[in-house]
Amino acid sequence: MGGIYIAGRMEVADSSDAGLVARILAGEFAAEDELVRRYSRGVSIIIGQSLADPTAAADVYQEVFRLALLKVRAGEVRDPERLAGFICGIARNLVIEHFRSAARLKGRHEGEPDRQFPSPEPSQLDRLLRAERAALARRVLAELPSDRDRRILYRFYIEDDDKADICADLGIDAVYFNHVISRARQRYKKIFESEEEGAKHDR
Amino acid sequence: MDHLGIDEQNLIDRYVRGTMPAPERAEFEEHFIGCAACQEQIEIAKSLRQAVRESVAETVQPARQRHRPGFRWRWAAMASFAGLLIALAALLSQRQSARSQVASLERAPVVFGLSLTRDAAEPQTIAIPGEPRWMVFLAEIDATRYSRYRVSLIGSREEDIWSEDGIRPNSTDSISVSIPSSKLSPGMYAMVVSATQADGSSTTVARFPLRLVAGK
Repeated sequence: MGGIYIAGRMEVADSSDAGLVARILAGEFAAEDELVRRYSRGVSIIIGQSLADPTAAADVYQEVFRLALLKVRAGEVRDPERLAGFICGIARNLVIEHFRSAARLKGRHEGEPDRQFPSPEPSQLDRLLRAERAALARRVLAELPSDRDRRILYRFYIEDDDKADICADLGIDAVYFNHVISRARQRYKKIFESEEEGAKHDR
Repeated sequence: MDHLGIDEQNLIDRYVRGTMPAPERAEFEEHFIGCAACQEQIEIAKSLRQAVRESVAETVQPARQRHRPGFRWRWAAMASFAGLLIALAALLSQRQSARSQVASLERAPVVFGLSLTRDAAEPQTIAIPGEPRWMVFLAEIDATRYSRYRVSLIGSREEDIWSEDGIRPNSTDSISVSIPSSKLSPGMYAMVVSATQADGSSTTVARFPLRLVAGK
């Protein structure tokens, strides 16, 4: 894999997963930072896929890297080439553990009166962001060339219908389906980025 | 794992929708945890999915009604299903040929929540929109016992005004149906949710008395 050239010291730091593990084992603190940087976004996605509560997700995220670094330092990574899989495993296990703890807590309170508490109202910022996101989606939907394409998006994103069912019902093939979804995603990204750019200029 | 295969197998959207079997999901996670391109695609897909849902949910107005204290969260959860219902209305449009019914789709549907927590004897008053629209009824039921239900709108003389079979619930505690407002007229009705039992007999799961009045 690649290496990092460190100017001045004439050294090449091994940036492969195995190299990263070796550097952490050797006590290189910068390598620990690099591990967190490298896997931060992926770990966030894995956790966010299961945990909707941002506070719980942030706690699990911290715990993933705390535990990962502890295990790497202790030489517990059996196959350093598969560091990515190792970190994925920790993230998945901690998410499962989070749900188990929540279930245990719930079990402990069984028998108590079932009180229901109202969910917190979304903040003004949440509402604003939601409205902006919704406006972007409406633009993407409006720009789709046909009602059929809009229906594909509605059925896929709102009704969670299977691709095969949508294709069969609307008489389209998988290639066309992928094309519509992919084009909508790219357009959404483009509009999102141009809005972001516009906002930067406004600041 | 290559990106051509990821596109062909729709791994990004299947992951975001949570429909991947665990081994495939684990394999994909091991790929994307180190793949910036896939991470970006996942984030876009997730955001677009959420945005499309929010864009339709914004047009929905839940019915105003009385609640018992402590049950508001249930309605908040049910409101999140509202977005799903608009697409249901869109689907129904495929089955309609009358121009007025197609036109009704162009306006935002209105959603009415029917709650079991209300006084069962007191009918809920619902205004029929003045212009043709889809009326989406979101009924709170115990949907844990059967997989499919029949929903009927019964007139004051117990006549069948409208019905639909084989409806799957939205969740363990709600089911929804869409009816074009042009099919309804002011009067007293009951929306009855029933299910077919193992022995073939029908059982009523919930009954919601309704008073439909002409709206603006």
